[in-house]
Amino acid sequence: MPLRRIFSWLKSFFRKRRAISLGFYGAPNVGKTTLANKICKDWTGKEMGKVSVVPHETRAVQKKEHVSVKLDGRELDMNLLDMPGIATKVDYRDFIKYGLNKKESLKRAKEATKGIIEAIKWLEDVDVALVVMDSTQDPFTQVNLTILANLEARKIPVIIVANKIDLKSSRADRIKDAFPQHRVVEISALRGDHIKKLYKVIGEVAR
Amino acid sequence: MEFISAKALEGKSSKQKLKLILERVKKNTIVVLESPLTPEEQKELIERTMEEVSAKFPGIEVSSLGSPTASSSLRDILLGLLGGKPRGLTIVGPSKLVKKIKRNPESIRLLAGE
Repeated sequence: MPLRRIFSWLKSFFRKRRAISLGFYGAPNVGKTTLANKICKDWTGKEMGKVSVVPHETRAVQKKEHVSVKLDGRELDMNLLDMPGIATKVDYRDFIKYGLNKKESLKRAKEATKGIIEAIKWLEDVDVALVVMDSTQDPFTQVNLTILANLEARKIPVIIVANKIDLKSSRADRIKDAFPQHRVVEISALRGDHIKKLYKVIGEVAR
Repeated sequence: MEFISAKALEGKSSKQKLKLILERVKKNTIVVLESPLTPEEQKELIERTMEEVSAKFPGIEVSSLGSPTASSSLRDILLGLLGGKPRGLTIVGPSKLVKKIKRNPESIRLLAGE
């Protein structure tokens, strides 16, 4: 029936329009994919991408569209965008240390540089950004500052995720001190610690 | 190391500034800019660097103090409107040469060596 078809098209059109793009930003190996996997698994039952100790495992934007998230009685339609880690250098020799041969390392480095450019281009197109930081590391890096400054300039809502609080050397307080103007949520994406708090903050920011 | 005055960069477009920086950095020079790059320029610097990365040139280390941001103070904005120089600096060096760069809110510490 044509009327039904029109109704269905309108429904899907507005459903698409309502979807909120949630971008996962940060340096390599801060736990972006672990967090994206946790969120994706909590709401869809499936993970998004592969996690590895070798830097730049995510070398292209990973998308999971129309993830239905229920927060405080509201249903949010989200597109999860797991970005490649942003860095100012990609040295193929770093991959050799992890056991890759020279050819594989050079290929990975080339793909990583393309991924970084792609992640930067997406900075303009996310509705909410989760800027993930490793709480065992110094947060005051140029990569973090550049990501935050560009999101601020575009007035894109930011939530800083202080990840890896399950590790003994975690110092999430340093992140809070470094960026007092932003909301900081301390979590362990690996163990799921405080993940509900993060969902609550996402719900508040994504109104 | 090369210090570049704010005057030397006056009137240059972002593209020209980034070209000037990368040309020097690729020749193993650490560049100190008297006028800091804007966040947009820093973002573009990372993009341009990634386009240039090769086995011989793995990338850069960069740090800025006092870059103008969306939350720049009214004083800074007025200073800019009155023709004053933005306070701060940007250091960019080849990652092969810059072993460590540590940024504090008010200072930058850089360790270089072959």
